[in-house]
Amino acid sequence: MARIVKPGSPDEGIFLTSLDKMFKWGRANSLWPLQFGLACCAIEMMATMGPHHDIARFGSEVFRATPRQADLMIVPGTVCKKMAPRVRKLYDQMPEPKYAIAMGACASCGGPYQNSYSVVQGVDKVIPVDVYVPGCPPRPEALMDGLIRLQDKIMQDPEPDIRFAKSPTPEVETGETEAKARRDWEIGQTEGGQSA
Amino acid sequence: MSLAEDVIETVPEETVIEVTKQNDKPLIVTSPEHILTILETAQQSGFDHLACLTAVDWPKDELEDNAAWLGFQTEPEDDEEDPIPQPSRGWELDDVNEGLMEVVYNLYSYDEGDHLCVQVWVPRELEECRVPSATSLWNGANWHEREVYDLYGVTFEGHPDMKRMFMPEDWEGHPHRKDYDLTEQQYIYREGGVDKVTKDAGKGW
Ligand code: SF4
Repeated sequence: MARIVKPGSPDEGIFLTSLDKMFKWGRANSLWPLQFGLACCAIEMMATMGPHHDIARFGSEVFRATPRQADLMIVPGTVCKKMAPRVRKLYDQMPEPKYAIAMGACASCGGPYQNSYSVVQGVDKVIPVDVYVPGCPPRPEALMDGLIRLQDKIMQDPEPDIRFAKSPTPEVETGETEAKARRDWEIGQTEGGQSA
Repeated sequence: MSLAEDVIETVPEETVIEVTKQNDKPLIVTSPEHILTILETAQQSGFDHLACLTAVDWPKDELEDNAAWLGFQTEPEDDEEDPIPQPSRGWELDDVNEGLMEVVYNLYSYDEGDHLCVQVWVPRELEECRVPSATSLWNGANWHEREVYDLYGVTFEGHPDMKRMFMPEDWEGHPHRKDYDLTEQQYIYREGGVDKVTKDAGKGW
């Protein structure tokens, strides 16, 4: 990853890395969770926020009350069928890149509410989940372990940051006709530029 | 004399089917025709709070399993062939078709701290599962009754707004009934600001 320059060398104090890795490092250590709770697990999530367990040590204390400012959705509790469309909506409103932690047995697989008329059997049916934290409820330590695992996952993500990804060539992404239309449009642009 | 005993003394005798105790609290069993009379008397005697209104679903086979405990029949004597059906809760086990629905009213008096339980047993079939509404006595009965209607399918006659409380209007079945079909899951999605029901798990998510 980063190359740390030996102490004593003339380059001391210089830290070399790629911009991509630096962004990932920054993103992993300032995950802003969405502030919402669905059931008993939310109480444990609040305990994790509190001074005793202090999730701030992992850069994650800024629980945002709006999905527009959050990039981590901790789903703490039972996802009712009535709640599922709302959870999906909140997730859709979060800006990319975004992550989700399924906290507790309920959010992971339905938990005690197996085969229930009203409970979705795992929030992964509704949104993509990165980390599952087992337990009923998981202790704050378990949630923090889940958070650390998510941070590892972000750091080790082989995909480059969305800002540094090469934009796909039209031939790869779109069909033949669309690519041709695009080429024609580009040619038209250049010609227009010349005539002007 | 406690408030509950007062009520039991005051109500006309023909309105009461049975008076017993449940968890050391007085219990009156009555019929749908007389439930309002009893509740009104109770309210006038000082039971100012309808603490809970709920229902219990008893399909026929469960009634049979619990018959002795419920008092529906006595244990057969040694010299007798068949158990003797005993009238209980206004019903004989032989008269029950599909089962019974037990509608329970838990009353409380703030002044005296006294409890009274009132029960009505009606047939379990949806068309016959009807009880008069208590909304005229306690406004709080409104949502209780809608909940019982939603989850158990008991219709409260005379209720000002008899519709589902929690589930969307087009939900099939009443989920707390013991014969509710769980094999075919129903899901909820939003359309035009209202909850709709679908059988397709992915719809709307
Ligand atoms: S997993 Fe357990 S503690 Fe968490 S929401 Fe479900 S029932 Fe509650």
